[in-house]
Amino acid sequence: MATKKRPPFGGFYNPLSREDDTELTRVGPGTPCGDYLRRYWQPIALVSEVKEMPIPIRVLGEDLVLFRDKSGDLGLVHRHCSHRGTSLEYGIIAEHGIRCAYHGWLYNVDGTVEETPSEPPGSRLKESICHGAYRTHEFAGLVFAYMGPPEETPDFPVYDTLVWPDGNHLVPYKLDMPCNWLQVHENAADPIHTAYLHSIVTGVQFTPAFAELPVIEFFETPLGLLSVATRRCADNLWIRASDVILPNVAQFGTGFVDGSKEKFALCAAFTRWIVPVDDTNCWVIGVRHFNDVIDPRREGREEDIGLGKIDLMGQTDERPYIDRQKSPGDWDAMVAQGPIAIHRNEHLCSTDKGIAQLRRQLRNGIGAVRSGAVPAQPRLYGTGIVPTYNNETILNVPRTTADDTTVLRDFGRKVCAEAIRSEPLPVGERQEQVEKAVRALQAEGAFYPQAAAPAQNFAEGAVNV
Amino acid sequence: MSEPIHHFFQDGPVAVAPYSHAVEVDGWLFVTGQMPILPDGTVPEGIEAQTRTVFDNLRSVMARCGFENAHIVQARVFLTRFEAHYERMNAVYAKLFPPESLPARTCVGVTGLARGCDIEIDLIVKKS
Repeated sequence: MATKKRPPFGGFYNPLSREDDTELTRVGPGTPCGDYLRRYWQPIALVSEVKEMPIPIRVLGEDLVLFRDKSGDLGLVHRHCSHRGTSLEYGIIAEHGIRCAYHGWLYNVDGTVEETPSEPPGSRLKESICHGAYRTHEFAGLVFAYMGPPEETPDFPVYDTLVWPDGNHLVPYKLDMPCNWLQVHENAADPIHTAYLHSIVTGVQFTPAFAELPVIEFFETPLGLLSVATRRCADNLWIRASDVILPNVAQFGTGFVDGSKEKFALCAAFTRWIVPVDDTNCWVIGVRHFNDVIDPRREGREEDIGLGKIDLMGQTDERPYIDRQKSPGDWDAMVAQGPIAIHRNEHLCSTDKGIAQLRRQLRNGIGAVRSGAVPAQPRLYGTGIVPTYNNETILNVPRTTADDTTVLRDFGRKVCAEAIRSEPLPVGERQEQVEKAVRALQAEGAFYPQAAAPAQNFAEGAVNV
Repeated sequence: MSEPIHHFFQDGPVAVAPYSHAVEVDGWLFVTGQMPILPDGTVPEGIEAQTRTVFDNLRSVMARCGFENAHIVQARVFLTRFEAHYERMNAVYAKLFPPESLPARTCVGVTGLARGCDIEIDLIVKKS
């Protein structure tokens, strides 16, 4: 950050730094952040992308090949053959594994060398080599990989939103972003941009309700951060509370709130990972949720979700440049920060607390891995389901003479405190309990500051200010 | 051959160059390539929505020319990002026609289209 103000017309005195924040941005093998991200299951492809041919793929700076063998098992292996280095994208799919086209070496999906056909009978060469390979897992139409030390493989975390509400239908999607992963992920911890980028500066991109400036707050959760934006919509208050889950996951509510109707949804419309392809490319990859709780009016458009597409404006470069200049979306804002955003040239301000907090949390995780510890994984409960805190809440809390900013802040805190406090409850029952508790607060007028006893406030210690 | 009729509609799809929206000759209608421009002048995001918008514009020109129920004989599709959009465009396109009466079609990848659009489609239509 610049320390001295420069004179007007003083571009000459404002040389920009070219040094990026390598601890957080570089993701290749052996880098601090790369080692950290490799400790978590990462989605790397849509299941629908894996067809009859091997796919050359780059993940975390590593060139790999993804394939499904004839027995149906997925394989994710280093791209270059351990024998003479040609690419296994030209490999021939076998019953179990993949056979290099060049000299016929056969690899199983775990990297075991099964055959070295040009060796003399009795050769034990294959026993001395194991080709680089990674564990995979299919879930919700996504292929996940674990690229860390195999002996530390964590359980696959199933977030509660992925299995609830009953009848929740998940539609996978994947978008390309030609820039560093961090600046894309940070967008989730920057809720104020939803008012400016998506409404005030550029015209309405989602709904007019987004144009109302929110009160924003950030709560620490067992998973990372809850990024909370609370807005007034006439007599209703609307909370858009987004999970920012370490290291690179986030959840969001819908993009089509008009604020006119009460709503209580302790679930998500989007669950997405930002997975680095390399230092200057990443994917937004995840699922859109379809259910009656988050989307009771069925406003989502399933046919516009998938490879390269999502039913929310501005997430790709698939509009003419002139239209994107007139009304730029998330894609334009994030990619235009540069191939790797340079933190030294930023001037973070009061609305950037979430950004600062997220970077701190990431540094803590990176530090833990660097010191030889295992970083915190999403906690698992009895059922193997990980509770999350994302919520889209709209309740009738009419404006009074009280300072409305304080009312909004207090409302956001109390509702999100209930969401966090309720995490031990079983999925489903939890939504009912939290709604009941929030409705009780609403009925007793507790969302007005003069009615609230300070002792009942959400623990101040958890509020990052 | 009868005299060609040049159809141009002030309130039709935005004309981005000097052309008639369509030219009619002997029951045939040659429809100028349409872009995915919405009535408000913007282009929707994504090749799926753009394909639908192009056809909305083509159908509106056909209707204004009195060809709303005419047979689409041939379509030419131009794409600027062929690799990325070919399959996605086809998925939408296939739903626009009964499978037993698909028009003859040519689809080519091109380096650029007017207004920075990613897709353009023109038609040849015949009154039955």
